[in-house]
Amino acid sequence: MHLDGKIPGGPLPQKWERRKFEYALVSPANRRKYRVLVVGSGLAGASAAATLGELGYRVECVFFHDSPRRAHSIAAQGGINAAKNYQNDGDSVQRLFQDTVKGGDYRAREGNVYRLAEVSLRIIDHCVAQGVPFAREYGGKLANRSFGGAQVSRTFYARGQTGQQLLLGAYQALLRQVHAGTVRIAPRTEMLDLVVANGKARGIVARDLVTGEIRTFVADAVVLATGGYGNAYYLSTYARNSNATAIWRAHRRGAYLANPCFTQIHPTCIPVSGEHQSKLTLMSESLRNDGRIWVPLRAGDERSPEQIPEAERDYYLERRYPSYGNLSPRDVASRAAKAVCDEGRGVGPTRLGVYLDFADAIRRLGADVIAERYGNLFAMYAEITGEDPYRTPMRIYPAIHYTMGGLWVDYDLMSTIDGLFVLGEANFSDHGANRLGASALMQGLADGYFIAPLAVGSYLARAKPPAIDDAHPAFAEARKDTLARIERLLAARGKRSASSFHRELGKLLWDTCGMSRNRAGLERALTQIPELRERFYRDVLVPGQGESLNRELETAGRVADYFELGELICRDALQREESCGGHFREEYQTPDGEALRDDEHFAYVAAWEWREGESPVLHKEPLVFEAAPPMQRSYK
Amino acid sequence: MATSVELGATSVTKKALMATTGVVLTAYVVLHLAGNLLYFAGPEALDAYGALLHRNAGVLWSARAVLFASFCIHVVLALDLSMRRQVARPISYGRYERAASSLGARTMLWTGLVLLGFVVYHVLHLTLGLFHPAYAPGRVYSNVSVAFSSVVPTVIYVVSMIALGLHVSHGALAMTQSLGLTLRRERLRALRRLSVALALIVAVGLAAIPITALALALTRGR
Amino acid sequence: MRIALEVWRQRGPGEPGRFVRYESTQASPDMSLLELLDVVNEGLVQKGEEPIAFDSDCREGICGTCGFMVNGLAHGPLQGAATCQVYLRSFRDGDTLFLEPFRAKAFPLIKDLVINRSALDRIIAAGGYVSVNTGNAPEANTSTIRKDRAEEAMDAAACIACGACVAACPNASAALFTGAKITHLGKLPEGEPERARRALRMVQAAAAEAFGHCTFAGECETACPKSIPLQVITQMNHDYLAARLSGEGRAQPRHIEPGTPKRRR
Repeated sequence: MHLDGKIPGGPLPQKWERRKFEYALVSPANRRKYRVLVVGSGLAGASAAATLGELGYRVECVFFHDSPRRAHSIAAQGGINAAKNYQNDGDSVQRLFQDTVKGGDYRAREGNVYRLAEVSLRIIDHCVAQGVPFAREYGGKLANRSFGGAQVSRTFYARGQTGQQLLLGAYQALLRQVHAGTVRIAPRTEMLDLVVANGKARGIVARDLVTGEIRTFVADAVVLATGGYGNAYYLSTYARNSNATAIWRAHRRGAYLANPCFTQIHPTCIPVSGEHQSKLTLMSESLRNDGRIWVPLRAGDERSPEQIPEAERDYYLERRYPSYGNLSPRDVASRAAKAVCDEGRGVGPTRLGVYLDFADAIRRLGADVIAERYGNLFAMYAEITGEDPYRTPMRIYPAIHYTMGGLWVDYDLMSTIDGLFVLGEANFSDHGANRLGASALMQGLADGYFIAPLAVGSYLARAKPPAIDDAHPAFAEARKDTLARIERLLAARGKRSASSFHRELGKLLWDTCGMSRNRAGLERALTQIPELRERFYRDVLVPGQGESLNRELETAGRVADYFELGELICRDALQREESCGGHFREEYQTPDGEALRDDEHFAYVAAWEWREGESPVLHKEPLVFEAAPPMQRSYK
Repeated sequence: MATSVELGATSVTKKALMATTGVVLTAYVVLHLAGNLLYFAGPEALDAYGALLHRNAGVLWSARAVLFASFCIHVVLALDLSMRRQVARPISYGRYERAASSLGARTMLWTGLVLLGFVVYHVLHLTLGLFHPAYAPGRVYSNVSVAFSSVVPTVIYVVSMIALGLHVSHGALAMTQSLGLTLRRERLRALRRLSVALALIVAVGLAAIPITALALALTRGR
Repeated sequence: MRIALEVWRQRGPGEPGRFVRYESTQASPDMSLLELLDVVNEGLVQKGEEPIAFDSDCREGICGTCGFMVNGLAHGPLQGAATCQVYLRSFRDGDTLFLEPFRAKAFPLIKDLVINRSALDRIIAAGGYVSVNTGNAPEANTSTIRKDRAEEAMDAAACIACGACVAACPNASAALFTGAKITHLGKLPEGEPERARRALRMVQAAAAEAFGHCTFAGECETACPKSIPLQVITQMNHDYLAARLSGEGRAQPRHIEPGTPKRRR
């Protein structure tokens, strides 16, 4: 199948204008005849559901949390980018576009990224109008901070809770529509399968997590906004319940999965402390504005940080990347941290950590200013580690944080299944091989508020999906499949919990397909994962039954899908014989250890097609760069 | 969703009414204290004050009516709201700690009930002269002195005044909040102290009279 | 370290519940309380027993999913922390912890420590928003907001809707939650036009959900993992009473029944 990204013609700045005009419209009175199903209630899902509701479609929003406000967008700390140029520092739509394409190591579509940069302006306008309490200057105007991968200050923020405040804006808009009757919500309901009838996405099968009832939802278009799949790695900064089942099931029903090996490792997380740790906690990248990262010059230095004199410290980011320094992009900063730890210069009890030191900033600005900027992050760090970052440097280490890969979508955010739209982190579209800080929120909201509502409407106007109900055999079949999968998990009655398998899989993925990858490791993973999966189905123990709240069953279902997904991640990493962004193949690096991209052979989107009982098939969507010609990505 | 709810029924309205009546009652208590302190100025002063209050029956009975109405509204709403506690939390905790509440806040209902009993007793005792060995209308000073020459009424009064102090210590603060009055955090802190000060003044001032009367009776008796 | 848990176990809403004791020797001070529950559950699963059901998601104190009573205190002993942010170093070796669900009529129990808090969503749905459709917004910097007002709005907006305020309140009142949203939006120029209407509708919605009244004891502020100040309740009372007294927020278009004869006023 030829993958058509459906990028509109014409010069970049006119593409989105042109596409908006090309979109077919549904008249206001006809909109209520269409049912749109939105799965997920994070930034992308809630904003899409709210906006579709405002337009007058009949919307149903399904999510597994108890309230739409709990989706993991809530945990984003640092901020949201927009090319407002309020700081008069030379920012522009063009520059945000360039930064994003370069930050993504030239593995994203120009057209999509340009649109994202353009729409970023309206996102801030809309969020302010909703009452999002962005940080302000004393003059009452919006404040900005800088973020990794940019030399301008374009990040808008609400203390360290930007994601929370943006999500609450979308959530409130969503509940306003619930009150108005245009949107219905189905909380504690987890999508377990996609229903494709006559070649079009027509609904989902979901499990009511409280009663265990298997329900079907019928719709004229399905929007997936179910987030990323980083939890395949077990230890990550994702929420405990974030999972890949929705996108994986859609993939198995025909949606291609693109660039799964593009996973982002965030450089500033709190290091692992013990065996039982359930998740890793991220400290916002904004900390790198004022914190300086260093390790001892000498390997195996046992002294406490205060005892190490200035001359015996290695501020390795400032040394290696003088122009971006501590604000180098995430992939670069993470790999640099791994490199110094591999040299034996890591700090903390596990030696897997580097210092993030605020002593200079506190001296320069005073503890009050630092507290105002990062108080809640410092408090969080102190709570988790029992150490006071005002006195002693923080210890940080990279952790899985975001997945740039996701379901393949065209310019209109539609997957390879007609009528299945994919938004936010769940799609692959805008970040290439590496996402810049404060761009995830931007993308989620761009997709949800400004792109999907128009694209979905146009699809409905053109496709005019015929009436259907859940008596259609496709629904019965999907339902039967779902029940069979649940039955299989319950019937195994083995000896181990699903999460113990998850931990094992996660460790394998982290070791072989984490911060750096090589052929031998990936091949090992590709043989071990199927074995582990077989053991899982033989030996997993899920107590209780399916007909009630059963957390073990939920976990087991999600873990089962991680095996197949994990395999695909490794397969994708293996075929991509270059290093770019978050994907670092040890075989492909420059003499000084930087990523070595291969634009001649790998400037494509790798979109995988599921084949039942066979190996997945790789489809390539070539990437063309006209406005931002690829160059060596240097932050030196 | 919730538009069918009767407007007047919200607890915010009820609490505002409780606060308004609370203001009336507190003002009355303060005036009552000011008048009663004339006890320490001697029999003539106190009796003259008593006579002054009775000079205009219209004013007297209007004041009594307002007071009585406030009192009744206050009590009825308090009982109504506290019964709703059960409704709002039908199953109580196996373990429950109150980490923040002041003593006054914790005991609001109980001190309120003590005060309800006390007010009835007090009116019967010193306004109508029941349970009083030698009540003589108009002779306020002597009525007071005689009433508190024995221990039991004095103890009842002092305990009730402690209850009053506790009640006012939280009530004076809470009523400003129920009326939506203090909106700044710094002022709230000051207000908390003021409420405690007011409570102390009222309780100590009002308890001082029966204690002094008893002390005088005991020393005289000796 | 050794920690014993007395956990409220209840299979479902209609069924009887009771405290069940679990002893764990695998606790360590750097472990969070929820991680200890994970360990206990792992053990229960291995024995084929049903694990303790509890809600949690982000495990960094921002999503508001987790929350139960720990020794009679909502979210446990620490101020400004949600249950997931409580580490075992806050307890002593040999301690017994009583874990009990948040209790309120408006928070029906689902299972063990899991409750249904959708009543809070319904309070927001009644008016906790600015009625602005996507596409309506003017340029963001056209509105000017005094920094201290913006900070006050943010203080109130930090609410994570965990329900601890309700759980800790002796009257199971949702005043702190409701007041927080009323304050957040009411402080901002964008929220001003709907201020009266919002206060009326949200306060009524809270009453309809069978939350209790506020006695200003201050338990909510102390229990709140985001330390939302008590003043938001005063603000709510203020806005609500002002709206009731002024009649603002209830304006209806003037309607004259067709066929009504002219009449002297």
